[in-house]
Amino acid sequence: MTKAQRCAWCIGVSLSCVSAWLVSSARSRAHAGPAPALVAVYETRIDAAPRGSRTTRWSFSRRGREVEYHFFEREISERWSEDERANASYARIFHRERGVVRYSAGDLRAHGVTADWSRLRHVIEPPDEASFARRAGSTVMGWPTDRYTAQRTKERVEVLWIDALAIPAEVRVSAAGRPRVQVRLRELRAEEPAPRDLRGYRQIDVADFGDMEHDPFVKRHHHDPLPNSAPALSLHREPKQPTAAHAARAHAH
Amino acid sequence: MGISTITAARILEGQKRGEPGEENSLSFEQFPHLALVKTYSVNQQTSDSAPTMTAMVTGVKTKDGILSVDENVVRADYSTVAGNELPTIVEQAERAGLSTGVVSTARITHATPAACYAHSPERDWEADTNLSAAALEAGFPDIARQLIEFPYGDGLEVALGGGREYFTPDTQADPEDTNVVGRRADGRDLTAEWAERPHSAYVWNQAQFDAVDPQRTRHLLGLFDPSHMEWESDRAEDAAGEPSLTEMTVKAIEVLAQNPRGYFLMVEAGRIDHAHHAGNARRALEDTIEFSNAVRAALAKVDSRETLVLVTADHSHVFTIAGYPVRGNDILGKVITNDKRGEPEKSYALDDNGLPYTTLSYANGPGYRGGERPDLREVDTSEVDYLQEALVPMAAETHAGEDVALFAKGPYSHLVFGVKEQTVSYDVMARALRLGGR
Repeated sequence: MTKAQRCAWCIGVSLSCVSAWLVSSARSRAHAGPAPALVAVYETRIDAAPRGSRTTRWSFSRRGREVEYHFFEREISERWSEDERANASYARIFHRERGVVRYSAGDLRAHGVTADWSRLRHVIEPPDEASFARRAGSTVMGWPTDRYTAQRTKERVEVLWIDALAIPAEVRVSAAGRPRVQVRLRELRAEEPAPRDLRGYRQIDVADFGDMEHDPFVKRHHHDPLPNSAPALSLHREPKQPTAAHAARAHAH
Repeated sequence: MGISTITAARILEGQKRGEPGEENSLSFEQFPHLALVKTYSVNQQTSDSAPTMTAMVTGVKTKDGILSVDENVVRADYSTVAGNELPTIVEQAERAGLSTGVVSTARITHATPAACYAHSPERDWEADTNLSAAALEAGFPDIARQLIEFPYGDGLEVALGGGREYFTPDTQADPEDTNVVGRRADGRDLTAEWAERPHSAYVWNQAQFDAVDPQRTRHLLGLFDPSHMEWESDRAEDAAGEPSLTEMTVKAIEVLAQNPRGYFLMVEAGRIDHAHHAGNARRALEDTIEFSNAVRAALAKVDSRETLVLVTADHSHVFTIAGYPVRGNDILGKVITNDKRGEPEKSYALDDNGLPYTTLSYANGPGYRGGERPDLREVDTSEVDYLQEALVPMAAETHAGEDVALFAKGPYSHLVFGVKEQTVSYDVMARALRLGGR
């Protein structure tokens, strides 16, 4: 394991904890009707002293029963869709390689992956007053917000929430008075995102991996992590070798 | 569907009826004739489905990854195909005036069904967008196109399975999953081309399938999912509804049996393989039981004095039944052994780490845990999504190289005995169809 990989793993562990904490402490607020279509660009800054900080940009788009997270640096998108019977499907899109790995609803179930739509549709699970203190927040890009704050044993979490759009404008996690993770909304278009044109992309079902052992694309990606229902909060995880952790995720259910 | 899969499915089926399970028989296990079959290909000890199915439908072994072409063909090189095509039993049956059909829960362009009707140097060339640039430039036909343009006799009478998107243009949204578009860049809608022919029907959901009148349909194409069909365990969740393997088999026979000269039908439970690749025994076994149901339903539709039925696998998987569980122990559960007096212990058998273990496991695959084994005491290992443990970490579990079983009933089934090459299936079928004498 290289130093860079070690560093990334430490950040990953940290973010994993944040992610788990948000899930366990906040129950979804009821949002009447479907969440509005939009395209939001975020910036995530991770401060991992003494190793320094790292900033990444990513976008979140939502329309109908589909959400997509796009990570600019790696040029990878993760798309989650839901059919009318609430069956989730997933596609990991590798733009540099013009390739797509698809998981059908059955594939997700067979790999022990459950789509957590309360997070996927809203970047994070929407905060509520049972777990957070709420007060009026500032206006962000013309949208009024609520500020939710909560103090846990070692961390303070603040969420600036745009209730009308059901997405965060900012998430800040601090420890010992120092910011550790900061997610900020940088661009916002409250409009239907244009469908991504995947013509010319090679699409492979994960179910076919077992019959494609010689395929170079499959060789590169068959050890990639399983789909993650909290993509925005695990931005810095490096693809792992098939370790116990990999298998444990498959068996987390 | 290796022998361990048959054994475990047999036990599971019996246990689902409340029986111990071991003495149960799947429908095809009661066939009178049986052989073991060697599945190696020309260039691999352990094969994929392309050369194994090629052996079964052409009588010639070939190399991995290529479909119904001989070993002189270079994989993914279209220019090596001409002159090296192997006549398939489907082509020969059509030439003889018989009806023909393929049924699969996998994509109907997947290797096993494709070997029946296509000649391709690459099993993955399922749509034109999958072809190499050189093959595309040369106009080499992709596998879906070869199905629709099948030039022998009056073409296939029945093709039922998954893989709809390989037949439709990349500008056309899927009718069931509107987030998916077709895969064809040539602009052709092959489903429409099929349906335009006389007495032909194309269906893509359960209601349309149920409405098909086999007496009035000579050519039936059913594509029930954009890609593979659902596992039997998940079929009820399919958005548009889709038929079971049993229902497809029965409908296929009803269409094909209209021809008084006879027919050839290939039925594949293609998702047994996929569930094993995922390290997910429960889905594999449930699909094996459904396959057994399909065979039982087929037997009820045919006269065994005039119809040969063969049941086999293209290859096995690294799937194991281990430990010394007591009679009737949950085949998907943890091992409980007998005590010294031959009575069941009160608690699970333990490994050298003091941990219980399951009867079923894989030699490799995504079920690898790494480090110390997990404590399974509180884990429901019979749950449908549970992945059995694997010894070697691999993202996809692999095929296995041991022999598979070939069960036979009907005319010429007496030729099925001993340990044979996989080409024996072709030899027996060709005799039963009297292809040489027609």
